[in-house]
Amino acid sequence: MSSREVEGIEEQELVARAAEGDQAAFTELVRTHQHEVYTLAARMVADRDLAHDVAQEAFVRAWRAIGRFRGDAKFSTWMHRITVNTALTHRDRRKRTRAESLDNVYHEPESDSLSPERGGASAAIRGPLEEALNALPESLRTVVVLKDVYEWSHAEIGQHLDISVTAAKVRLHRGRKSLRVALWRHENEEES
Amino acid sequence: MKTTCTIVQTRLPGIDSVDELGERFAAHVDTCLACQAEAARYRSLRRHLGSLAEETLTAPDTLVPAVVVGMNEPPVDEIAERRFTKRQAVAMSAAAGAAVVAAAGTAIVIGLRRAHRAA
Repeated sequence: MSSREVEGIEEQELVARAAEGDQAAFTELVRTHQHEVYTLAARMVADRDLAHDVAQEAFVRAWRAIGRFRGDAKFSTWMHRITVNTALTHRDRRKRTRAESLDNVYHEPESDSLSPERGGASAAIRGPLEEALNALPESLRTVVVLKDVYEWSHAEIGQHLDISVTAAKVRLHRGRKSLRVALWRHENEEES
Repeated sequence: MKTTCTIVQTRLPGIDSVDELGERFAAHVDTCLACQAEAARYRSLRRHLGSLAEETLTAPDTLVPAVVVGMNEPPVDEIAERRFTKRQAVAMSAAAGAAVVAAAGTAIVIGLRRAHRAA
């Protein structure tokens, strides 16, 4: 039996114990998945402080709902969906409090925003790419992240964002086009 | 730029493969260096975005303790329910008080009328 299979079985046991109200078991699941959940949250909201809040709330929501987790998907997949929904809830809250759509607000990227700690894209393109990704309007960034980074289908994206498949495709088109323009501009600056 | 190039390059952001352009436009890409270059940029963009999935940021040390605290707090809707119950209690007390005052007032009025009739 491979170490991954052993880990899978251990995780199933932790999930089962957590579903029975075992806080220690759930806390162990949080420790295991905290980085990937935080990463997804950070990519969705493009703000590390907010990503912390989103990740925290996503885990707390998961804790309250784990009794209903049927186990037909992996715990990480289930957590991803909860994280995406939580990030969208935060976006809606911010929209209400700011009384304006963040879809039209471009974020100033943090100086070290989303710098990777492990693996990933080549260093030359990574910085400009993440900067451009963070600068996208939130509605476009969400679709690009879910489709191109996390490989969700248009149907899944549409379902979670409560938009049509066509709208998801249009946002992906606009998002990729904006990224391509931003990266091309960067290449021109480097050449000049 | 040729019309065909414009059509192809307008469609490129929305597709995952040049084959999705259809036979005619895919054939154009095979022979057009400008469209090949643009298709290569989008292919590179998708590949780099995909590689972000392999990168994991390190969550702040405060995350796990914050989650544990959150797990032990009542859900927001439960808090709202408690607040509602408090509001309900206040409203019910006020209504009960008002009813007592109204009943006392009615009794006084009836008493006064009876006294008036008797006189």
